[in-house]
Amino acid sequence: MAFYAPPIARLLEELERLPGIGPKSAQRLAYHILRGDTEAAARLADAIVEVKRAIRFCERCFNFAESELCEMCADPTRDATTMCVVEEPRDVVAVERTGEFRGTYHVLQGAISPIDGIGPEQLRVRELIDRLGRESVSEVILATDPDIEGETTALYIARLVKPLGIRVTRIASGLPVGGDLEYADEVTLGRALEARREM
Amino acid sequence: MRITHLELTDFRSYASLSVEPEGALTVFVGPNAAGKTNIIESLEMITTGRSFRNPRWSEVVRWGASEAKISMKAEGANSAAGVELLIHGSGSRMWRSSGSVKRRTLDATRFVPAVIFTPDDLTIVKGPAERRRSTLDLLGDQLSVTYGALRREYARVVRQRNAALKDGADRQLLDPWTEQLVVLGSKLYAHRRRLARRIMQAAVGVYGSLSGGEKLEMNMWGRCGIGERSLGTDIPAGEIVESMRAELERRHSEEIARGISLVGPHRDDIVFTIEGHDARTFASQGQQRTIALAWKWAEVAVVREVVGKAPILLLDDVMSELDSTRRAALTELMQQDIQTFITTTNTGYFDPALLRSALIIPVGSGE
Repeated sequence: MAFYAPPIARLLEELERLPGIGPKSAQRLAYHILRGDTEAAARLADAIVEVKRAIRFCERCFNFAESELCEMCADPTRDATTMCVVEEPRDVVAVERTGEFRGTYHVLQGAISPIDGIGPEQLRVRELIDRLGRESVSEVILATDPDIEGETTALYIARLVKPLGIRVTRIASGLPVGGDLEYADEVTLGRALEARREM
Repeated sequence: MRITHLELTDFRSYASLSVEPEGALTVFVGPNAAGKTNIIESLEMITTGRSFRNPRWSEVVRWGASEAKISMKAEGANSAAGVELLIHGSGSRMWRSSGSVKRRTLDATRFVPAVIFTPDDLTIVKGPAERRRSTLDLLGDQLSVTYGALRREYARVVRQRNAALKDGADRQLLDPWTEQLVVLGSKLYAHRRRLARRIMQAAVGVYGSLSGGEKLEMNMWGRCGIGERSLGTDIPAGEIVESMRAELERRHSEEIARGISLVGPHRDDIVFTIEGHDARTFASQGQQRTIALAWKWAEVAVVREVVGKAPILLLDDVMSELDSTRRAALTELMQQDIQTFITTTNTGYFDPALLRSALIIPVGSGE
């Protein structure tokens, strides 16, 4: 039995393909769109099409970009001697939000995971090494995820970069600032203890 | 902590079931296939978040129902807890404790530790090494969050490294995985060894008294390059790391040829000897069962020691598997102020004095 008119069913089907959207969320979104005016729906559809048309990868760091270079790469005031290596474009946003980093980025577009058939060739590793040969980078900060794939990727890159005479550092993992020690989960707390420093 | 209330809704064969344990012992009596084990399983799930049957989560939802619910109330000397587990037909789960949703299983399962004993555990001596490792690891998971996290991360490293070996990865690509194998593996080895030592210390005495003075020894044999070393001796962390590295180097070409990781704690084994003889080959069935019983007894002691509270004891149909001497020994364990849930087809296996203070619940066919 068809519960929905075909156009609604089609919208639901598309929405359910999105990550984190189950049947109930899809229904809520679809009904919201149906209740709204036609202009609002057109703006949404337009924004989706436009983002696919206008956004490509930065030719230097492989972050999302609107032109050849992303905003960070195009900014001449940024410190080109420190480079932060991350897995995904969203990690660039996370590091930028800290306001602590004024260097450049390199987005690998994933992490090494043999189970999923992802090796260095599927990532932007060669492009990273090429950049290091071209640009005068003195420190590479490895900010891949603190899970085992991210850790392995960091180890792999560190072994490629160190022989080039470039300083390689890895971001620390541990407790979030502003979090109470008492509420930290045991694994995070254990990691933070392991990475303790002298005072 | 004692469980004061258990309620099942659309769980396995039960549309609804409510149990209010009173004393220390609750006995579920009924014929085979009546659904007794489902109750033991629900108790294991609500207290530890897992099941000895390792089902797909969707399987535990009663046929035709959309979700299953297990809820439990427990009371301690100066604490109380209410825990609820909802299992949706799709397999998704939701924990609630004291009215609020818990994102992680471990936040809802830290109230009541549990030790479970099923007929499968009787194969601990002769079964595959995997059985002994997982018995130890499941205890480790309950005792320490770090142990559980380490074990899961290490297992993932082994899977990834095996995939890399199968792909014919070169040294440069393999080395980072090897490094992770050593770092996490040496830690897991050390944790597991400490846990095995605790079990040994408790089990040896119990075995001695159950067997009329026979000498049980327990050891851990590994593939970490550490030779035979008594569980009683401490091995410094640095030495485990160095041994693993050397062993990995030594077996490198063999790993490449076979395409699997051959070195590391995923190949650990626990070995029992009785009076110096390997129990796997020489122990009688009775001796093996006594070892299994001593092990479970040791688990109870270790949980008490580490967590600081008595676990509940879940016994699924083990009385029929034991002779009268060992039944008496199990009965004695149950009387150590430990809340026990037990299933049986026949109350004749029990000490009548014990039964007088027990809550006996008949279990019919599926209801």
